Amino acid sequence: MEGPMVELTELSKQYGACSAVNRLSLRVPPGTLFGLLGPNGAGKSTTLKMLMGICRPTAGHAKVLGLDAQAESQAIRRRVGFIPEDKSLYSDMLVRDFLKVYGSFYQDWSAVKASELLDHWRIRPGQRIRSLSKGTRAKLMLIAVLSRNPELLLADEPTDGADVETVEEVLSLLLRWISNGARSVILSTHRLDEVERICDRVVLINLGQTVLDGDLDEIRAAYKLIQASGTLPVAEIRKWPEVAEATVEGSFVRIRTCSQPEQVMERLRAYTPVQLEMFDMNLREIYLCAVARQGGSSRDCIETLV
Amino acid sequence: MIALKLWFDTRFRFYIGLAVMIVLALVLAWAVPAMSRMMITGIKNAPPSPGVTAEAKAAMLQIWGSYEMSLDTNWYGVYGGGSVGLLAIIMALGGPLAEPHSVHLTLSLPVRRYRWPIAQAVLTIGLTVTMLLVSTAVLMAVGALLGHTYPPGRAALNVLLCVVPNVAWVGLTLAVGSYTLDTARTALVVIPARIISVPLLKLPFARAWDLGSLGRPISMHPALTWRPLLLLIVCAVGGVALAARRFQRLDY
Repeated sequence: MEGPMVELTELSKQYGACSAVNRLSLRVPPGTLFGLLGPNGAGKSTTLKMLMGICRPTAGHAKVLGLDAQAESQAIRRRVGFIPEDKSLYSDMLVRDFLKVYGSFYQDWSAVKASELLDHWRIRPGQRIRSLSKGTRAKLMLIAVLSRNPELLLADEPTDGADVETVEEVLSLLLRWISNGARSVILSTHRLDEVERICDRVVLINLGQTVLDGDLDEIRAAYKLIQASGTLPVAEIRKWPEVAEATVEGSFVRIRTCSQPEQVMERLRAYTPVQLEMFDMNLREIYLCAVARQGGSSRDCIETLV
Repeated sequence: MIALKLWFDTRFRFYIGLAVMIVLALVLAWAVPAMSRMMITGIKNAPPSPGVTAEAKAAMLQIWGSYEMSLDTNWYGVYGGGSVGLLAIIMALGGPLAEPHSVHLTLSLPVRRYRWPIAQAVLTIGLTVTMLLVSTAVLMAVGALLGHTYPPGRAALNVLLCVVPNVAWVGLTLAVGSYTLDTARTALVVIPARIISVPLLKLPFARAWDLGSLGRPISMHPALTWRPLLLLIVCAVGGVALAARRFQRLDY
């Protein structure tokens, strides 16, 4: 399709006095594996639920596949696959009954494809869902959704509780599924390693607000750790617009940039530092740096981001 | 599709309810003729009492002397009709309104929300009719084997008459469920209310409104008046409409 798969404009959701999502704006282009990243309680699940019409936004606007997420939610649900956060599924049902029920709601659902995926992952159709592990239930939900042909997949923590092997399998399947270029995935997770591995674009949110939004490569290029020693005006460096954070650790000054690190290096060289080195930051460090820059406490994030 | 999902939700309760009803039917198929014989002997041999007129005695003998009348009183009027009333409520419990973990999955399906409670009400009523029809068929078949016949047309009519008041209880159950969003709490409200309603319907105001006439078999049925029917429609349609409206508006 032309235009963005998902477009959020100043989307907000308030539960009483608590703000779950706060003026969130983003665009998901076609063919993108989009990471919606944030600690528990950041507002990721609420955002996905609003896209599916499961809950209503308090303010703002959401469009999915060019359709209004509130007024045309049924049409959206027909074209979008959704993996909910809670993978209990219909726990009293057998695997085969669950797939039969799920498939009955969609005209484009393929029982053959579902059967192939069940065989591939060695899930027996006669097993009761209650008896499946969390990881297997996540796989089953993915089988159900991908046995259709949705244009967009909203996956809320699809690998939550899964073992390493399952995580690998699920991520590989998602990558294969998106490879035709016409589909998109919004992957909501607090697992930074997953996002780092497979996503093209990311939105990092904290307390319902966007902390960072952009192409992952561009973000990596902008966020660098510069370690310098020598006589440096730390207070002044902190004021540079390219610098997110500057701390003194022993004899070193550690500077985290949020844009144009090469320019920061150039400016630092003017102070003839004894040592000046630039390092890549992983997504976890980038996230914490962005949260700190926003003025939030990164302590809570550290606990729930892995 | 909605029906398939709801059927999977309800089927175990239906099977258990059907088994209970069939057991009751089997017991009554044997017990009604035996009870009739005992009652007739008892009435005939009873010493004269100033409280019991000859007409009353004759009426009692007429009821117990007729297999059809005995079955109407015991099966449709008491055991079958009463049990199916509770089973209808039990089957109306749960569903998407009270799904604790999977509600987001259900709401992500391409179905307008208001259709879930409506479909649940229709399915519950259908299953209640089926339950009573099948158990009545068992009762009639065993009765026929024991040499007692009961007209099938009358049986079918009585089944429908017995189920009619339960339509209102299904509506009320869904309405309460849309507020509690919990199976156990809904059951705690509706089942005692259903039980309490039986003596309440015998109170003077209920008699004046003829509320007790609903659910009785044809032989015990006076001409239907508009008041109980109105109440029935209000409870059934109002209950389902309220549940549908609340489910449509719930914010998860």
